[in-house]
Amino acid sequence: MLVARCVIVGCLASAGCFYVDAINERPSAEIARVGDGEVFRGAELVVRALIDDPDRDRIDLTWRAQACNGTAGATGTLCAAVATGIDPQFSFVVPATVEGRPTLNVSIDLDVVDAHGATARPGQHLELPVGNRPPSAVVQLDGRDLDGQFPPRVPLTINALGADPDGDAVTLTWQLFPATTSVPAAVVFEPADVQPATGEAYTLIPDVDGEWIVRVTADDGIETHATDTSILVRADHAPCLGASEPISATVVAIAPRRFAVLVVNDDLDPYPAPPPDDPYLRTAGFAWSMRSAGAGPFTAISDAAAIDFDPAAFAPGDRVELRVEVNDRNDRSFAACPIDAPTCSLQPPARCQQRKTWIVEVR
Amino acid sequence: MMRALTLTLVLAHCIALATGCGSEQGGDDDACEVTVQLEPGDAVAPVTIVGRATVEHGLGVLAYEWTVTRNGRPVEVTPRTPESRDVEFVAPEAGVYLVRVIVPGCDQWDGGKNVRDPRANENTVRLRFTPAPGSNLPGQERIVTVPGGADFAAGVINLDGGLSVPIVVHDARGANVPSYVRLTSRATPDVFVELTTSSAGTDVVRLLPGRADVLVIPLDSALAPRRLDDWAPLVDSLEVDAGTVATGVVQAPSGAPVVGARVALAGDAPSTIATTASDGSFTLRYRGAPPSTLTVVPPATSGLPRLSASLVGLDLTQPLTVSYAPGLIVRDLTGTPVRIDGVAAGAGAATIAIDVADAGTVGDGTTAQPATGKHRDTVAVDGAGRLTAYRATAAPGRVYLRAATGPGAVVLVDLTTAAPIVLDGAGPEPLAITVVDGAGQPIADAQLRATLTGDLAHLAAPAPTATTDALGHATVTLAPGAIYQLDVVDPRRDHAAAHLLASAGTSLEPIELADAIAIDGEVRATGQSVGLPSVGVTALCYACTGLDRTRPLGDAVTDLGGRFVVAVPDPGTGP
Repeated sequence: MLVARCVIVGCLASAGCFYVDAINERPSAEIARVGDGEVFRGAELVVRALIDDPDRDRIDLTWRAQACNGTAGATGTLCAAVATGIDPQFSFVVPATVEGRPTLNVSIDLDVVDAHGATARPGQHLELPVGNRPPSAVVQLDGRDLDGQFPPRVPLTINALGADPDGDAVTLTWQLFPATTSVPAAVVFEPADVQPATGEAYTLIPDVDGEWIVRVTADDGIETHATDTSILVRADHAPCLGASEPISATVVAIAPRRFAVLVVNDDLDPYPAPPPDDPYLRTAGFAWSMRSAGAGPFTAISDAAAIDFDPAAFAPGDRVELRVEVNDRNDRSFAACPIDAPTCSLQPPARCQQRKTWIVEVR
Repeated sequence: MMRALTLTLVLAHCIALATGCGSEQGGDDDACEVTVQLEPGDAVAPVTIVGRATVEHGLGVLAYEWTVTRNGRPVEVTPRTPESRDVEFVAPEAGVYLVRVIVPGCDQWDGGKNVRDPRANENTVRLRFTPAPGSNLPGQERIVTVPGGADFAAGVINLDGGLSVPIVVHDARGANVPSYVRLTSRATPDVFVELTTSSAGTDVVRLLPGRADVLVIPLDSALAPRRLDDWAPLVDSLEVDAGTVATGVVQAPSGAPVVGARVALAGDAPSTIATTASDGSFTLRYRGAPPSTLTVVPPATSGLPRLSASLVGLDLTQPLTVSYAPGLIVRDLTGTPVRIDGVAAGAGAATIAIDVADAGTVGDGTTAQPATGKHRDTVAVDGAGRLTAYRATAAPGRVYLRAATGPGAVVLVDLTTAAPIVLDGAGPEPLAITVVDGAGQPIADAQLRATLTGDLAHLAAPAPTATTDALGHATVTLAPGAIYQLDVVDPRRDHAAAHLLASAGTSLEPIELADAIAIDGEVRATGQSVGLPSVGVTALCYACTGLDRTRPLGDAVTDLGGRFVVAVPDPGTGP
C-alpha cells in the first residue's frame, strides 16, 4: 500500500506538494504463556505470541523450542531441539529426557519479522524450569485376611508397583517396622519367590500380633516418596470344636460305633480340611487318647478326625474314657487343662472348646 | 427376542429345587414375593426348561430379569411372554442349572434345576446333618437319590426343630431312676439321641416328631435294662423294674469257683452285668425275651479266656452253670521278652488274640451249650522290653507287638506246649501304593491311612499315614502279618474315597478312586429364611451295614450362609 504509506511531508505555497515513502517501523513481540503453573515433563506447554506492528504489516513468526537437562548454558548441560512453529500459538510436549537425563529446563525463542524484513527486537526468549513430579508406589497386601487383619506366622505377600507421572524409571526400596514385641530372628521379610510381571513383591511372615509398617520408597532419580502401609496382625485364635458325634458325652457301645469330630472352626486350620493347595489354610490336628474311666494317664491312640470303636475289643462292663483334643498349627499346649477335666478351653470365650471326652460303657 | 444373559454371579448361595428361595422379607406377610416353577420336574438332557415366575403382592407393571448359569457360564434365556414372566432355556447337558429371577422393586428368587443324563445310574445316599453344639436342633438324616454323571443340587434342607421331650425314667413307684437312655427316631434310625438322666428333676431332649425306639439302661444294677420299641414321646412313660432274674455259677477248669468274673447276657436288650461272688455265683436281670447269648469275662489274673455261649434251648429260670473245660491249661507269659527284629520293644504293648474252640459249657442242669473262648488282651511291655503280668490259655494264637514308636510286628505263638521264650517279630515292611483315577492317571496328594483291623485291632495301634506324590505313589510301612484297613482320600474331593484291606509284603494293584460328584445345598431350620452355619454334613452309605454304614463317603460343613458342598461317588452313566 504505497499510496497509503505516502504522506504529505511538505507543501510549498507556490510549487505544490511532494511525497516520500513512510518509514517502516519494526514490530514488537512478546511471548505469553497460556496457562500457568509449573511445567512438567510429558505435559504440553502452550505459549502465544503477543505482537504489535505499528504499520500493521504482515508478520512472519518462527518458534523454536529446546529442552535441556540442566540450566541452559551451564557447563555440562545438554540441550536438544524439541519443536518449531510458525503460528501465533505454539505448543509442544516437554520431553521426559534429554540425552537420557531428565529434562530440567525448556527454552523458547520467537523470531518475528514483518513484511519489510524488520525483526522484532530484542529477540524473544522464554526460559522455563521444568519441575519434577514425585514418584509414588501402590502397595497391596495379599494374604489370609481376617476382617482386615492378618494372622502371625502365616506368609503374607506385599505387592508394590512404582509409578511416576513424568515417566521416569522408578526404583523401590523396602523397609519393615515390626510390631514392638517382634523378635527379628523370628521374622521373614524378603523378596517373594515369585515376582510379579510388573512391580515387586515381598514376603512377610510376622511373628507376633500388633501393628507392622511396611515402607516402600519410590525413587525416580530426582526425588523420593515413601508410602507406609499398616499391617495389623492379630493373634491366631485357638480352634473351636464344632459338631461331633456322638453328641452325648456318656454313651453305651453295644455294636461298633464311630466317634468323630465333624467340624472344627478355626481361622487358619479348619476341619473339614480345605483343599491341599490352599495358600494359607491347613487343617486342624487331632489327638485322640483313652484310658479306663477315671484311672491313670491317657494313652494316645490316633491323630485322625474319627475313630471306630469296636466293643469286641473290650469286655462287657468296661468303661473307657475317649478323649479328643484339637489343635492348630501353633501346637498349643494342653498343660493347663487338668487331666480329669472332660472339656477344656485354652482361651476365651469358654464356649470355644478344644477338648471333648466321652465315657463309653461297653455292653 | 433372544436375550443373552451374562450375569455370572455364583448363585449357589441359595439353591432350591422345588421351592427356591427368595430374599428375606422381614416377616411381612404382604411383602412382594417371587416364586418360580421350572418344568419338567424330571428333566432329562437335552431338554428345554420352561420357567414361570409368580409374584404375590406385586404392584404395578413388573419386569422379570432371568439369569441362568451352569458351571459359572451364562445360559441363553428366551422370553415366552413379553415381560419375560415366562421364559425357556435349553439344557443340552446334565448338571445343575442355577436360576436367578430378579423382579425390580420386589424380590429375588434363586434356585437350581437338576437335569440328569438320560443314561444316568443312580445311587442313594444318606445325608446326615449334625448341628453345631448349642443349636438346640436334633441331628437328622435325609435320603437322597443321586443321578450319575453330573453334580446334583439338593436344594434347601429344612432341619426339623424337633420336639422338646421330657425324659424321666422311673420305677413302679414313680421314683426317678438315673439311667442311660438311647432314643432312636424311627424317622432317622441311624441317628441316636443319648443322655444319662439325673436322679432328680427332668431331663429334656429334642426329638424328631414321631415314634422312637428306646433303650434304657438303669445305672442301678438291681434294675433291668429295657428296650421299648415304637415308643411315643410325650405319651408313653419310661418305666423300669427288676425284670427277670437269671442266676448261675462260674467254675474254673478245676471246678473251683471263678471269683470276680463279669457275666452278661445279650438279646433284644443287654442284661445287667454281674460280678461273680466268692462262690462263683452271679445274679443277672434282664427284661423282655430271654437273652440269646452269655458272655463271661474272667479276671485277667486267671489266665482264662473270655467265654461266649448261645443260650438257645436253655431254661433261664434254672441256675446256669458256666464251666471252663477241665483240660484248659494256663501259661504264664509274664516277663517274656518282647522284641521287634531282635530289638527290645521297651515301653510298648502286645495285643494278644487267642481263640479256644472248646473252652467250656453253659448248662441249665438239663441241657448244655458249648462255649467258645478267646483272649483279646492288650498287655503293657515294660521299659526293658518284657511283658508285664499276663497269663493266657494254652492254645495257638497271634500277637501284635509294638514298641514305643513304629508300626510294630505280628508273631504267631503257640502256647499249647509251653510259653514262648521270647516274642520276636519281623520288622516293618513297606507297602508301595499307587493311586489313580478312572482313566489310570495318577492322583497326587491323596491321603492314605492304614488302620490295624481284625482280631488284633486295638485303638492304640499306630496307624501309618502317607500322601501320594505327583506320580500317585506313596509308601506306608506296615507290620508284616497284620491286616490293615487302608483308607484313601482325595483331599480335593474330586474323587471318592476308597477303603480296602491291605497287608505288608503283598503286591497291591493301583488303587482306583472313582470320580466324585458334588451335592450342594443349603441347610436351614424349618421356618427360617436364612441358612444355618457350622452344621456338619456327612454323606453316608445307604445300603451298607455295620461300621461301613457309619463311615462317611464325604463330609462338609455349612458356611455362614448355611451352604454346603459334599462330594460323593459318582454313580456314573450307562449300563
